[in-house]
This record gives sequence, C-alpha cells and structure tokens, in this order.
Amino acid sequence: MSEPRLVEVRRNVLKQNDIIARALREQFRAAGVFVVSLVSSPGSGKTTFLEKTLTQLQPRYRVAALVGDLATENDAVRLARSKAPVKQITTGTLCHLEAAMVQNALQEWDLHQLDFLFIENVGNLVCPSSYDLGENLRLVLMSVTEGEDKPLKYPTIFNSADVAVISKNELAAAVEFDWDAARTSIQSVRPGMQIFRLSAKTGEGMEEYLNFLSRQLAEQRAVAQI
Amino acid sequence: MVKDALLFCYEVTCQDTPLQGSQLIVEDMPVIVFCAQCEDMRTLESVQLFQCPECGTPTMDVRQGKELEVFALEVEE
Repeated sequence: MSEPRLVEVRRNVLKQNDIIARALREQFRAAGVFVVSLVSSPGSGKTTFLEKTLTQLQPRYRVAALVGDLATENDAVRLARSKAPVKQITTGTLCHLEAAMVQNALQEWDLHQLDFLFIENVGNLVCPSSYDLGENLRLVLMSVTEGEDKPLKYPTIFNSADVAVISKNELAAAVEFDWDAARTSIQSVRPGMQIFRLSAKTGEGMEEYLNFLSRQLAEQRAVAQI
Repeated sequence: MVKDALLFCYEVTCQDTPLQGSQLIVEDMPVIVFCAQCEDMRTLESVQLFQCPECGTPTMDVRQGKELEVFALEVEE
C-alpha cells in the first residue's frame, strides 16, 4: 500500500446556505422590503409578539410573515388573525430554517408589495444561529420567565443577533426578574446590542420597538436611493 | 456546532461504507477578536465574554472562530 495522500478540500460546510442567503438579501434590497427574523427558545412568546407586531404595523405598513415549525399550522392560524399574509413552513424534523426554505416559501409572493417581512424561526436557541436567512435584522427574543443568564448559556445565538427583546414584562415582578443581571449577560456576549423590554400582552414598550423598526426601514430605503 | 455530536454522527454514518474505520479529526479554532483600544488581535478566553482579555474593552470585531470547513482528506490508495 502506498503512502497516505493528503487532498486539500477547504470547503465551507455552510457555503451553499450562504450563497442563497446572499441572493435573498439582494432580492429584498431590490424590492425595498425590510426583513426581520425572530429567534428564541420555545414558549418565549414569539407568536404573540409577532401577532401584535403585525397588527400594530398594519395601519401604516404592508406586512407579511413566514413562520417555521416542525409540525402543525397553529402558529400561522394565530398570526392570520392579524389579517396579514402569512405562510407556514413546516420543517418536519429539522430544528431550524435554512435560506432555501425561505426562498421556496416566497416564490408566490410579490415582495415589491411589502414594507416588512417577518420570519419566525423554529423555537431553538442553538442551530438557527448558524443559518443566514438573508434577513436585514435578526431579533432574539427572551422572556422574563427564562432566567437572566440565558444569554450566557446560549452565547452564540445572542452574539449572532442584532437586537434583543425581553418579553412578557407583565410577569417580571412575579418571577423577580433581575433586569440589570439580564442586561449584563446580554452585553457580555454581544457588546453594544440594543435591548427592548416590553409586554406584547399589555402593549407596554411596544411603541418604542415599533418606532425603531420604522426608522430601520426608512434608513434602508435612504441607503438604497443613494 | 457540537463537536461530540459531529464525531458520533460521523462514526454512525460511516458504518458499512468504504469509510468505516476512518477517523474524523476536528481542529478547534479559538475565537480571535480585534481590540480597537490595544489595536491588536486577542484570543477570547470565553465566548460568554466578548471583551479584550488584556484591557477589558468590549469588542464585536471577530476575526477568527466562525469557520466550519472541511479542510482536507487523508487517503490511502
């Protein structure tokens, strides 16, 4: 037997996803739609938060949502109450969304007719962090019931996000939520990240966050016109 | 990426294929950031703390550590 031979491959395992994500980002830019993806653990209140977001943006903006889950169309049914166009992506056994799934789901939609597109990822704080979906903004949601050190336990997802939302603030007192400790853990894994503390249920803090989204859309369009 | 899960799956996937008995060698890449204060590259001690280990300045300027590459194959003919 001859000597072992070394064959250099040097191939990025996630390259295929990144190529599709890049194409999606360009497609979003050309259509003038601002795309926000939502990541969080299961049960942190993503769907309620997104339903309120869609409802409250609608008087001023054209909005739509894609929602990923392993099974059931329950979330799409809930989100459809907002009257915004909603499409469910069922992943089967896959624990995250990939750029190709987003691309397929968007085939029948005319993105030029939209101002905001929201992509709700599968509830999971691990795998979604590695998959670029072409979004303009990745929002990580964490509820006050989850514990202030969640960012330290799942640093990669927080590090990969652009903005954080602390949800279910109406329960903060009941669970003795330590706001300073939560902020410290977020800033530790993702220095400089903007954090919104709100309650989708009572509406507290929603306006500041929605104004932030409006500014992001305006900035993106201003850049696109240069 | 979870290294143990990858190693376990590799072994299972290779069973009853020509790759059975082959070895997967994973090289861990430390996370290296650029510290604007020190104007130098620094290796993070922990991904739970994105700050310069020398001066303590927070930084998000990651220069290495996000790679997930199949680098090379060592084969016998």
